[in-house]
Amino acid sequence: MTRLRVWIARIVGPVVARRRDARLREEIAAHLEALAAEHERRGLSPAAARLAASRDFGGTIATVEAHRAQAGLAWLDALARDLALGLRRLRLEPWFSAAVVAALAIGIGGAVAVVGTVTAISWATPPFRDPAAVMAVSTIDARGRRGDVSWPDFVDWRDQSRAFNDMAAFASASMALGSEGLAAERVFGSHVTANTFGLLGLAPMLGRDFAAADDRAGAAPVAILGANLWESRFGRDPAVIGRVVTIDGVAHTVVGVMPPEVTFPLQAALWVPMAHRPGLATLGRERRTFGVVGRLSAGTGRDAALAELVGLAAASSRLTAPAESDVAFRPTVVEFRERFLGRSDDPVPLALLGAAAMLLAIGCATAATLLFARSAFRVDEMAMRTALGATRGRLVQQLLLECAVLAALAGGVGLAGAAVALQWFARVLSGSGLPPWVQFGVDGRVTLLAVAISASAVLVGGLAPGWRLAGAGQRQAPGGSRTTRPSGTRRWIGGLVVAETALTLMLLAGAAHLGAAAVAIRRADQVIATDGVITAQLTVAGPAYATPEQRSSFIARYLDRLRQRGEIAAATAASAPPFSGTPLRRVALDDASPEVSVRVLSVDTGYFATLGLAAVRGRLFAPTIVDPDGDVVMVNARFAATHGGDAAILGRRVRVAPSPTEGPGGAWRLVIGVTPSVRQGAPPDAEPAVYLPLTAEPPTTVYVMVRAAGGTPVAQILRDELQALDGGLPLFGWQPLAWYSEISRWTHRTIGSIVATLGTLALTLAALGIYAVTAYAAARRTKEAGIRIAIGATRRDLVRLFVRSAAWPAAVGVGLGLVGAVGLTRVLQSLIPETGQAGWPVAVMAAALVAVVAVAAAVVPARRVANVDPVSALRCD
Amino acid sequence: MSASPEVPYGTLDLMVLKTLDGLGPLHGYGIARRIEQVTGGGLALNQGTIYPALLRLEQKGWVKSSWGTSDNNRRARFYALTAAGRRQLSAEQDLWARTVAMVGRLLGQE
Repeated sequence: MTRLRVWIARIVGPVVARRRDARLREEIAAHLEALAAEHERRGLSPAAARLAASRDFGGTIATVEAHRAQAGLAWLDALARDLALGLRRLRLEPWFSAAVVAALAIGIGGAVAVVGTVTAISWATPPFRDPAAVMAVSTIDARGRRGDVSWPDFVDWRDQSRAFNDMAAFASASMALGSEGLAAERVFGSHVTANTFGLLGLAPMLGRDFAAADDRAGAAPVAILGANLWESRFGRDPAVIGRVVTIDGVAHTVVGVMPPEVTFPLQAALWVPMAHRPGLATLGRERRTFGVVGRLSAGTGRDAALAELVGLAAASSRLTAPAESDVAFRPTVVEFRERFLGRSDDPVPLALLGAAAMLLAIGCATAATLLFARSAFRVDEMAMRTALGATRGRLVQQLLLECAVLAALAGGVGLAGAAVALQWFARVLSGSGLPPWVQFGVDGRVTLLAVAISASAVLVGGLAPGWRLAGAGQRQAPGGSRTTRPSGTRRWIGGLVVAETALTLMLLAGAAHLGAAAVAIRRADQVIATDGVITAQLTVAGPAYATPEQRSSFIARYLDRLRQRGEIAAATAASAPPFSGTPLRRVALDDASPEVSVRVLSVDTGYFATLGLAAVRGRLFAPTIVDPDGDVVMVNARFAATHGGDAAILGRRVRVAPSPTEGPGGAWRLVIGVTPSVRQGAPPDAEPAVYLPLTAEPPTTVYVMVRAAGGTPVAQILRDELQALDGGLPLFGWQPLAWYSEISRWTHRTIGSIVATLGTLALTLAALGIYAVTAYAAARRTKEAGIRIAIGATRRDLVRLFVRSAAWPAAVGVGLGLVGAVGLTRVLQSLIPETGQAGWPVAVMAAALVAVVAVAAAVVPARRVANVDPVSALRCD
Repeated sequence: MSASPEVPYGTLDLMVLKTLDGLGPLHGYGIARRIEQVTGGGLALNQGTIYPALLRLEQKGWVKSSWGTSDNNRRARFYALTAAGRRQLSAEQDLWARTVAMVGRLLGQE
């Protein structure tokens, strides 16, 4: 305890130094005065008394110095001296320092960037009151496909649930907002039940929230604006409350403005009560399209709420669907944040953190390797310091401080690198479907982490080399050999190279394993030729397009006009673009089979040709309004595979359950062809899908897809041709077709690029370490090289000799790493099943890569030393 | 330079503690005077060395200091023994007595 107190006092000492010095000076002055007065009393003259006093006192400067030393400044002084030495070494050996800093910076930067990313996502919370109690309710079917909740189920659950205090439903929509004096614009909007904002604990900053009376059929239409929309369209005019705007052509009164952080559910800027959603009352239980949030009652857990909903769902599904069938589903309950950010026990972030930790370990090992390799050249310096009275502890302290200077630099560089990476990441991810309340960037926590990692890197990377080197300095007399390695260094370097190589190999294999999934998904998406295809959405709504026939004939006329234009190679339309979520519908195959739930979309007859797809079997839709075979349908290969294969499916009949908005009665349709399997939902796999002709079910909003001939921009042509047909219809949501593929793969792409970066960095580090080991080992043996050449060794022999010093441990590392890599990929595969096959092939390829890089990194410096002139080599010591 | 012996290492602390124990709170000058008086000039004590020693004792928590007024009405820093200091003093006194006895026996046998 006493020792601790002294330490604390000494550490605090410098901080209060000024006050303490002032106090001491006052004490000394008083002391001298009293002493002089005493001498005067004994009969000395005042001048002589002062002299006698200061003689008795014994020198005020010495006292102040001794006092300061006791107060802790001596300790600070030694530190400052070591720091100066460390900085001087930085200047003396710029290349060596740069290499160590680079190794540590890569490790630190990589680790900080990954941890920053993972924590940004996993620590993000929505801006709700008590967000942990807000649950997102959705459904999952027998095949594990996720969906939302049907309107009737929501109503049942809301009315009957006790586990939930309250439940609210939302459904997003693209809304055309018109206001006086401004052209209409498309905005992300959402229909919400009136209790939504109250449930979430969100209040408008202007005006009022929705009231229950607003959310009844026949109520006067009202709307709430998001802050951004209020700013961009209404110039933050407070008088907007009470103004009438049109939403999809219907007059609504603005009653409130939400604060900027409110974008519920994801990126909405405009909210309308649910009662105004078209066709709400007629929706059946198979239309699972409503997002649902619920606030848990006090004291109720997630599991209890889930159990209750499962019971309620079972009761209602008995009425509608046979249990155990493909169309059966069960509810799921997750925290709201997980709806957008993935499960909190998701293994992928853990795998990424593991990879980052490995990179950090490799970085520290490389830095330690460099320090060890360099230490052979510093034994003499240590011996000299020992001769001058330094203890081993003092030498280690000095060497650690040198290392700390390097690590501080590396931490700064790494943090800057991580900041750039996170910034880039935030830009890449904006608009990728992440909620706006996920913020990437270097904050206090990330900075603190970088400091902590750098500090531990000093200990991990610097302690062992410093301890060894200091010990060697103590055993040797100064002026001895300049290139003797400290004892045990060889074993340490060998061990470190083994560890570096093995870890690098494992990291590479793991990265390749995780990245392979991303590559496989991209390759599967390439079944469609997306180059040069642009898409836009077109809403065919209004009195002129009330019937399906009116809509399909309008779309056909529009596409025909586009096809006439020379700038356009092909044009088509579909109810959903490829690679994006397409509704699941119940489909019957002949009378006998049980119904299945599959993706159903309606496409124009030119759809497959425009996307570069040919029929795998059978034929495509005929380019006529009525197909020669009457009511027809196409299925994808995945659908065919689950129903007897490509050949067997042709000629069978399929009935798609009636779309509730289209009225009852679905026709039996002949399967005329099988298409390649194009993904119509979230990765990884393409699911069974059925394609209806657009004429059978023309949607209100279609995705127009156009392939440009040559490089001419065609967007204006699309607008002009539409204008010629109907000036009132807007084209919106312009995107290249490839965007839909990229956006749906962003998780996989992100993980793939992170692991690829980590793997590349690890390989660079391993190469750096092996290069340094060989270079220093060879440099140390320059004289020996001269002797060997003089007695007849060839340069080849020398290269082989030098390479061997690093090649052996590297070979051992590759061997160990290979085993580790196989094990690691197996573990990854069991944690993340969708990453596919694991095992030897990936590991062996990674091993080959590491081996080639290791040999190259060793040969380059070895050749340089082997090429020395023997005479000059012999002269060097 | 005086011919009298230097202060043996570590004994200055003991002397300061004992002085404060005997006389109560004192300023630096008072402590130095008292030690000089008691040792009868037998020690070459630079009075300045008392201050680092006082700081050391204060860091260890054996004495505490506060501003007060000296006999000649000057502001002065007064040092007082703490409870921990009192315990330390008795421990060191015992140790000192034992050491002296031991060394004495050793020298007596020679």
